[in-house]
Amino acid sequence: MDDSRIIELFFERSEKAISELSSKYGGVCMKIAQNVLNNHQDAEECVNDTYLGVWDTIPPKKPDSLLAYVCRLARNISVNRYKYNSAQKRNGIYDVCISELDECISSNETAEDRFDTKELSRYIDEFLDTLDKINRMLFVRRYWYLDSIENLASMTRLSAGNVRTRLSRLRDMLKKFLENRGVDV
Amino acid sequence: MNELMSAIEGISDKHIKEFAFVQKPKRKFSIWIKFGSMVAGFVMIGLSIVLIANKKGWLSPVIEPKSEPDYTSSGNSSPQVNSTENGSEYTSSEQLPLQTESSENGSSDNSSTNSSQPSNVLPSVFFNDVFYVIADGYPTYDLPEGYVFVGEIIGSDINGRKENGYSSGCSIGDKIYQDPSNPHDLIVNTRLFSDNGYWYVRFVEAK
Repeated sequence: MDDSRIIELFFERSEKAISELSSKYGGVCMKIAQNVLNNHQDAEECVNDTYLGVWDTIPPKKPDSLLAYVCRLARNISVNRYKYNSAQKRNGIYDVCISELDECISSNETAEDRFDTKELSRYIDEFLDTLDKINRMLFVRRYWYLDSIENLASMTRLSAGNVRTRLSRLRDMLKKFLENRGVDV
Repeated sequence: MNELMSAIEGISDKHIKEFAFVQKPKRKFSIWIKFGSMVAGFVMIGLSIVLIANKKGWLSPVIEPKSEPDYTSSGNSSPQVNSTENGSEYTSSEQLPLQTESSENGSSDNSSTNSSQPSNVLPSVFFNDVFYVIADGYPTYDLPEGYVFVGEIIGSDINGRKENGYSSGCSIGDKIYQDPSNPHDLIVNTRLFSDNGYWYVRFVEAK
């Protein structure tokens, strides 16, 4: 079913909207939740929470891209659940990705040194536009969808070592890109 | 929390949608591997057929000469030289390369050089200024004793008497043998009238 038709069903408050949303994007949401939480039961709960979140926010919201909207919701809910589950632990993919990105930019606690996140997001969009498809896919799937190295290797038919090397190079390129934009790294 | 991670969470929808569903790339050379395997298979089959055919001798048959014909049996396959009523000679059991014709005056004189008379198309050899025609009897696979090599057929002429070394019926290069004590006949190693290779055909001096 078309995305616009599914949004119409949400506006009509039809329960069919959830089933259509689940059949079309349920797999992607589950994949994101599994990547973050590494637990099927928790992931299922997060996906159900995602459907509820969509139901509660549409209407009044009418997203331009239903897929991106649902994926963002699923990711945010999963990350919050992850932080709740493992406040002390630091061994999930989410923390690994954060530690990798620490190479590119330092975390600053003070308000004066805090970067404008929206501006940084815009710079990252520009950076992604400079990459070829494979590298862009590796970056987005690793740091937005939180895929493991092994998953990325099987998706791209590259070796795990090759994926790690490419991600390392991409982080270096991002660092240089941000430096050129005046971002203090 | 890492500021960069927060920023990455806020990237535009187009990048999120672009890689929401990722298909594994097809193997680049899969079609070529399949094609190459097929070609290799056909080549193997072809080679096997060629080897088997070669082993069984189907590809290059060799014609083995027949053993010497049995003169005592009634159904021997060698040509027999017969005489016609007017004295001209022909072979009966094999396919004749040329038809025989009787002369206008009934003469069987094959040595006639009169150009107005019909040509003599019987196998013949002109050698040492003597005209020899094919003799009665059977060709042999062995050279009779006493015969020595004296020359070769050097040309072909329907009358067989153009010049020394010319023949009607024998092929250029066929070897000529003669008994030095008997210049009235000679033997040619030829494939004339043979299905299986060379044999020795006797020619006698035409009268």
